[in-house]
Amino acid sequence: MYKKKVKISTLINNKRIYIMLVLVSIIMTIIAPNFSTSYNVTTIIKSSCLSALVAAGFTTAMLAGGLDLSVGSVINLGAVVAIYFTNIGGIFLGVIAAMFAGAIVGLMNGFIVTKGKLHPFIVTLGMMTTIKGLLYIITGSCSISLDNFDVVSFIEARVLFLFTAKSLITIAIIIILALFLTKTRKGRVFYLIGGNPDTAWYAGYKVDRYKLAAFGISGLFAAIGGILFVYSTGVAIPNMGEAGVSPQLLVIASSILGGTSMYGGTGSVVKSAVAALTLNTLFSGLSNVGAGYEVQIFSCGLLLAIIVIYEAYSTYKDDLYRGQRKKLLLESKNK
Amino acid sequence: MKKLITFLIVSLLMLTMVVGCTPTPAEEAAADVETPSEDVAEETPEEETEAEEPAAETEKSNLELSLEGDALVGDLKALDNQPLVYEGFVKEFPVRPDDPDSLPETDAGHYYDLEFAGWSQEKTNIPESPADGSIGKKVTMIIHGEHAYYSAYVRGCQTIADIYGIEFNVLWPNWDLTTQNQMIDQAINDKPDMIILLPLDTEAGLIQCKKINEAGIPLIVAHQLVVEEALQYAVCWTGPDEWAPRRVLAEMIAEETGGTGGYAILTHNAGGSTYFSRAYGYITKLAEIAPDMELLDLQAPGLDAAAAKQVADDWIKLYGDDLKVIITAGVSNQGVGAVEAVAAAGKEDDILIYGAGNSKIGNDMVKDGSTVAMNYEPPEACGATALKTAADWFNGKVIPSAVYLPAVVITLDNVDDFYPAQW
Repeated sequence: MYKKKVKISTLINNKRIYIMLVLVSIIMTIIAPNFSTSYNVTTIIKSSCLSALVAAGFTTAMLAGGLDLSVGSVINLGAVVAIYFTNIGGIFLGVIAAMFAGAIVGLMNGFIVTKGKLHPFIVTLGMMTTIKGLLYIITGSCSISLDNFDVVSFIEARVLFLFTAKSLITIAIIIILALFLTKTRKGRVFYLIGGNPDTAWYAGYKVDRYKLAAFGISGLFAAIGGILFVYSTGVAIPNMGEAGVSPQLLVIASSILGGTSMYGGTGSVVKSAVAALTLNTLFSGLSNVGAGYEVQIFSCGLLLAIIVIYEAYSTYKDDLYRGQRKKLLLESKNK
Repeated sequence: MKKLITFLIVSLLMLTMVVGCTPTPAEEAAADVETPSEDVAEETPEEETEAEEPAAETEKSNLELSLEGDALVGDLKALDNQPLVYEGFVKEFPVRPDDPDSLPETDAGHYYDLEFAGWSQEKTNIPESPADGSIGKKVTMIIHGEHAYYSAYVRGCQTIADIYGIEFNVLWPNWDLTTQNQMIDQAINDKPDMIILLPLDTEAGLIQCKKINEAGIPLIVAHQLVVEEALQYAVCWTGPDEWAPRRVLAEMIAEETGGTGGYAILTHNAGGSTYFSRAYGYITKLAEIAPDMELLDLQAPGLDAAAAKQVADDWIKLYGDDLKVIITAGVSNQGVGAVEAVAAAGKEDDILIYGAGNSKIGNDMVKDGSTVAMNYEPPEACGATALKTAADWFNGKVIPSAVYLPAVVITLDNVDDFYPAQW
């Protein structure tokens, strides 16, 4: 049986996010006081939930060749809608209404991108600004809070080992999405249309419909992130993350760090989620050694820049050798 | 090549961590600045202990040494030569209305639970004071963000921390609620002897206070008021009296305008308790003493001079001669914008400007007459009061539910007493 030889460097690259997580954890355990306490580990895991969930949805849009910059605003939209409807009719209504709102925004993004033939960058940037303004109007620039905080106690409570209810819900949702994308035929089409939309079209798949669904999933997951965030803090604000480490920046960084290609077709929602966990582990460690939020932003930006440069270089090399026999090319260079 | 890049990533991660270990500019500023009370601070009980170690060890307990700090704080002065600690000031508390929410928004009673938050609240799970002295105790403060005001605030804290031998640490969340929540988790994980929290959001303060309380760490809520229920989890609240100075200023406004004309308010950032106090402190009082005065508009454009100027410009155009007074939430930012807008419209003699917070810019604006009056809100004293209360708690003293600073208003008559400004 033919066994494909995998170079170590390729293996490292494929598993880079897991390696980074282990490395960061080991280094921080050594240098940061109180880093490896159960309280801190629980905190890291639950702090990662928002960016992990939203990164999973964001990755789905990128897999399908899209880009959703509106996720930051949709998180806040989901949070505000969840609180508003929870206070009116309970948690079930709050959750459904917020998920509906997020999915609608995502589908609107997808509709404009596919039917209007516009670049997703422009469309989702416009949507981001529109929702932000809308939220300021709805909330009157104020925070809004839950009338009953019982749900906060439930969602923040540790229910299994180091995991809170919020963490377990997040993990379950991400696993479901990952299984759908990798183990079902419809799920794998998202990779196909991102990697080569023409081939997908020739194969009889309705490319626009899948892109629409990918944006819908992105909006839906951003709203679920907002719901879980708001049920763990009890408060929604229209401008969350504008001053500190923005959830949107974290989501984008997590997807790229997790190996999602900026050109679509390649990536993994699990790796994106693990990347979110890695970044939060890094931030927690940095905080434990006395670094402020500005160092967190710096480190996040630095990692992102390195990975983007690396990805650009990889793409350049792939393009250079695509359709050619690398060995012969090197021989001709050496002559 | 890929190996090299992987190695580079790991190296840069390490570099980031090293960079992370260096103090932030705000921490450096707080540490480097020379306080007027430095000479006093140098003679802290802790250092005295070191000097006279053999004798002190046998003769004085930690508590006795800590209490020696009380004799020093009364003489301390802030940068502007005003007292650093206002001891003995007691705010009067009226009877709570049966249902504040049912009162109209123009009635001061409607905001009773915001103004007097925590005063009548039954406490829950508050740890007992160890009453074994403040020296060596670790206090973590989670503040709002880097700003000249908060640098002065931390300076006041540090002066008192030095006197009482407290190990004082500050976390700066840069005005971001998510970051502040993470820092609360971090502080809990560090297990300090006390946390002093300046909540970024009135409502979010409830969950924040509850979390710290459940971790068994004593908590002082400072500077920003939070919802009433939150203060059941705190030893006490300390900070400036946010409402009383607005009423004094409202009385001045009514007197200056003859109780007629329109006024517009630029209030503080949305979410915080100052959003309400710096708007409804005026609105409720003017509704009571000058019912003919009309509130034309209320906006929260952020503490930004350019945004404030834009809003004030619009008001001047929209309301014309009806606009008699502009009230700002911060003289050094919104106040600057309002003054510029009024000057640009040539309405200096027609529109009166009042504000809050006495920075150097604010003092100068009162002195040159572009601002009629503002309240005195000393950051050093605010910070010092929070730390002094913490020290008192460690030293076993009885702590009231709320520790306020007195309401003082600065006008052209007394502005010279407040130079040099604290920030």
